[in-house]
Amino acid sequence: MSAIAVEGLRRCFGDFVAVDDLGFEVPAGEVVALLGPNGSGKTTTLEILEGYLAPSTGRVSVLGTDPRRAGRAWRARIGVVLQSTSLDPVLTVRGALTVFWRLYARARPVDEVLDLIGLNADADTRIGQLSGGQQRRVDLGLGLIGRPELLFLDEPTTGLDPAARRMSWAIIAELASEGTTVLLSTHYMDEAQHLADRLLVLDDGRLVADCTPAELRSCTATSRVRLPIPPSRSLGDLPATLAGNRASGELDVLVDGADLAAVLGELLEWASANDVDVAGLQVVPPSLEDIYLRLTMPDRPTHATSHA
Amino acid sequence: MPEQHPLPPVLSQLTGQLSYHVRVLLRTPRAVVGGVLLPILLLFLRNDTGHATPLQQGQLVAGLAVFGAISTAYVTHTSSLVAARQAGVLKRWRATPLPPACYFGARIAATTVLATAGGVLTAGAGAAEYHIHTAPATYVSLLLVLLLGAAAWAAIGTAVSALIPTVEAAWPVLGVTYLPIVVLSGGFGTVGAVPGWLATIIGYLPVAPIVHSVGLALSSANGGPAVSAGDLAVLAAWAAAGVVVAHGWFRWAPRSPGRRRAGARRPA
Repeated sequence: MSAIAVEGLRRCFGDFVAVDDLGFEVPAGEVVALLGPNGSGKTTTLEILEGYLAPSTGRVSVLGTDPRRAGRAWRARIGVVLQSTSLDPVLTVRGALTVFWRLYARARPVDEVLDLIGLNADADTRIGQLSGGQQRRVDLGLGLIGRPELLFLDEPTTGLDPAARRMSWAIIAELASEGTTVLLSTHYMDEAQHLADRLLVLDDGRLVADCTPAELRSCTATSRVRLPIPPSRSLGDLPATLAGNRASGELDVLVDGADLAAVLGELLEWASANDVDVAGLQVVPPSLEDIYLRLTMPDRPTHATSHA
Repeated sequence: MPEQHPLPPVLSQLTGQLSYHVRVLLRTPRAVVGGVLLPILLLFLRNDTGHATPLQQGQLVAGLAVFGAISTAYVTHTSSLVAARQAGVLKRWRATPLPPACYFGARIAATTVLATAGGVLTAGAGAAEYHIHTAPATYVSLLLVLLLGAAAWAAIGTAVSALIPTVEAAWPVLGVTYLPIVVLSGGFGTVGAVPGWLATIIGYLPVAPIVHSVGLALSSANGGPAVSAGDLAVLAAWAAAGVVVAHGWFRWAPRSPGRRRAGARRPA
């Protein structure tokens, strides 16, 4: 049975359609990342699945239940980490975890959660005195203390430094390895790539891609051509089809797959005619971020992509 | 289907929540300062031991005890509820298996207990300052009326919190809705003549009945139980009204400004 099943979901706020005709399923045990620019409907979708919001139309089933009609037993099976930190600053880390520990029948021991979130040394520190990253880890600890079958994470690492992000990733990966289904929203492509089995890309409230990271890469036949250029070398005579930008001493052009041979031919011809060394020429697949930007900003040009 | 586990009993969740809310309140400086220190400070600053009659002294002590109790039960409770909603704390609780009645029952009970304790402390300090005779029965009467009064104000505050969008908006709304009533009800001592219609209205608002009954308890020199059944009825009615309105109006999540403005961005 799917942990989450969504069919024809639409949610309006007055005249504004936040989510439109959304449909997807998440099998139990899968880690799925919900991607999309600000205002694309990620948080609205999560809030409907968590039971905070009712859909305007459509059908939603989470762990076999309509979240709006779900009771205590259903809530004991889910874990929620909201977009912003939501903690009582006057409680200690251990105090907050203990209060939540009492709510569940098979909660993880508080010390185990402290170990998981790496806050053993700060267990008796008031939450208000912790750094933003540490507070976010407490948030995560409260979300997982009830051993949820399904964990909702709304931008769990936004604003964290790289080390704190890596630590959060490790926690999420450990939960996934235990069989927890995870639906997380994120702005970070590397996070989605690192954690998710599957990506759902939302744009303007609609689902524009539903595939694995590898599938997303392969479904867009684009490549990136990189050629190191000496800083003193002018690019004024570069053919219009290669009108890429030079950044950090490199010509960087995003090319449609079908045009690759032609573009490479032109580039090599120009390099030969202008005595440019092509020893460092590289043809690489596009990053997930390139593809994401193409999906959510379709007017963005393919050729001549500026890259710093 | 995974194995289902029975949830912890509601009573154990209720006691856990009660202890949690008491801890949070005790660590909130506003509750201690506004509910206990400020009324006692005002009591000593208003020292009328040489001029006021015993009845006026009893009235002053009662008024300040009630002022402190309401400050905790209404202002501290409501503003912290608004702050918790704004910070997403309430939303997080809503996603847990904790029954909402447990959360609010425990929160109101914790507030009521601490507000009453603050009122009794102020009354005790006033009784010592003005040499008011207090028998154990006096404190039983005090406890009864302060408990019901604080519960009524906490319930009203829970209902009013639905109307307050942000922490910044809390003090203006709370100040305007309780300070004038406290003053007109004798919370800072006896007030001059007020029109009859206003006095009638004030009598049915939930401050004057507490001040009246606390004053009655403090002036009951023979130590017998001294509360007015009419006062208790008015307070019980306000408590019930607060619970009913809160049940219908309460919001767990803050209003999203993005969504309110969103209509302009993308038509359906």
